[in-house]
Amino acid sequence: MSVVQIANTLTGWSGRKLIRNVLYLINLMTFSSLALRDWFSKNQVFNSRSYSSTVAQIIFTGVDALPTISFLGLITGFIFTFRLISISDSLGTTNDIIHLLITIICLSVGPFLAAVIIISRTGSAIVVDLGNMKLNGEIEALENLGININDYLIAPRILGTAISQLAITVYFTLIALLTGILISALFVNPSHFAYILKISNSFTPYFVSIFVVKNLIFGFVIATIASFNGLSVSSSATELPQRTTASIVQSLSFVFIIDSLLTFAIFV
Amino acid sequence: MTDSKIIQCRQLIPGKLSTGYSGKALDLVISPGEMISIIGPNCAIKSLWLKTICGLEYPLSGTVHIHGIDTLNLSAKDWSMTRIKVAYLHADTALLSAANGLMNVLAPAIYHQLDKKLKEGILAIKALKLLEEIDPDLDLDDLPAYISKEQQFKIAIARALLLEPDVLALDNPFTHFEIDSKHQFQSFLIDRIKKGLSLLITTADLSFVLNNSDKTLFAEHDKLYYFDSKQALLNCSIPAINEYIRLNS
Repeated sequence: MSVVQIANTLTGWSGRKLIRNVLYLINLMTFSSLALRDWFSKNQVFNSRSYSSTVAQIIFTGVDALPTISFLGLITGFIFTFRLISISDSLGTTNDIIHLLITIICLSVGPFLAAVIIISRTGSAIVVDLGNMKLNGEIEALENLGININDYLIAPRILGTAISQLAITVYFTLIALLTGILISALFVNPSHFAYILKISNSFTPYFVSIFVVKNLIFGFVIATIASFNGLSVSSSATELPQRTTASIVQSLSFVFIIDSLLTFAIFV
Repeated sequence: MTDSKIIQCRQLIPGKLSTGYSGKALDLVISPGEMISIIGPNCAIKSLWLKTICGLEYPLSGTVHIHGIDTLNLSAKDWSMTRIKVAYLHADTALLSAANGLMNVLAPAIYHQLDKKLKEGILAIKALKLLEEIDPDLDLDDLPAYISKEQQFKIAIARALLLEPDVLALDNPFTHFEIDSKHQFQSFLIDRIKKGLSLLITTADLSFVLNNSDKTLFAEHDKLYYFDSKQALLNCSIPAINEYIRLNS
């Protein structure tokens, strides 16, 4: 094989890969746009048409995940918050520590861990749920009754997951911060209780809006990818595990990419 | 929109028929309270004709109008309306696996906001009454996976009827029925037809067709024959049809 042939093979491979990824991205964006368009065109926000589906999604994603999130919040509080506060005297000023806590716990670790839990629990559940519905002919039967699948099945999952991602990150962040402060105040220095007030005073509207937007985007992307993969199941049950794995890998990749882009946009 | 023509097919030939089709194109009008049967030896061909008449399959040629609207040019709203007005079900129509019988019946009606048009709680009462009419012994509490195919189909029928369709299109509906329950269900269908519902059906139950059908289509792989009465069907001299009637009588 000549050098030219090898070069052609490599550029051909990378070119095809790039085109495939760009087309996938376009498909995802079209898919989510159509789902939300159909939902908004028919609904007042949360009316009976898809209200119960949205609430069910929020309960599954947000409420049922609370034990896991609480456990991770406690561990994170101990590992990060407690350690940072307990070494605060040698690390810098109180403001530096607070800035560090907000940046690490609230803007990085919190959203990321919540996203990982949602990807593994909700994302995979959505793929299996929609994939099975498609295989069983449930989706076809609903369409034959004049039901718009985007409106009835997809949009509630996307919106419910986005809201839940935000809610469980708030919950996780609170537990992680409070646990660390509490342990630090009890075992190192009681004056560390003051961090509660100081941190809460540091939540500026700018910071809160970044926090909200980041979490909503994470939830939106995870549910969109999962729904897209679920509906990609066509005729065989063997496709289900394949689509589930693909959904998890794609969601993780997107979360990393979006996290990097947002970090670059905010901090650089 | 004319009330006397719920479905109107003009020069219709289904799109998925093989290239060997040499029969006539179908001109058919379905009016309220009519029963139209599609019979023949090949289930796939009958199903194809049924779905094409319902506007669920693209025709090779011709048009299908539902309440005056061409099914080839449907807006999203019209598409939803046509699917409600012409309810299509086959023997294995799936129910929502995560919902029990009653929720399965109510879910599409709630989606189409029939609960808003009725007073609170009336929709559920209406659904229960309908289910009682179809079969008083239906198991409405268990998930579809735990009930028989026959019960699943009856719940699917109730789900479609709660939306108040004009035409019920049934593809081989008696597949999962026992003899007794089949007759009971057929009586229910006849009762509905008398109340103005139109029935478009593919079935191998020739006695049901001969006793009740207003119009009959005999579909073969490459031909379609149309009969506007029971007598016309019994008096025809086409050997394939006579043989089919002899074997199924």
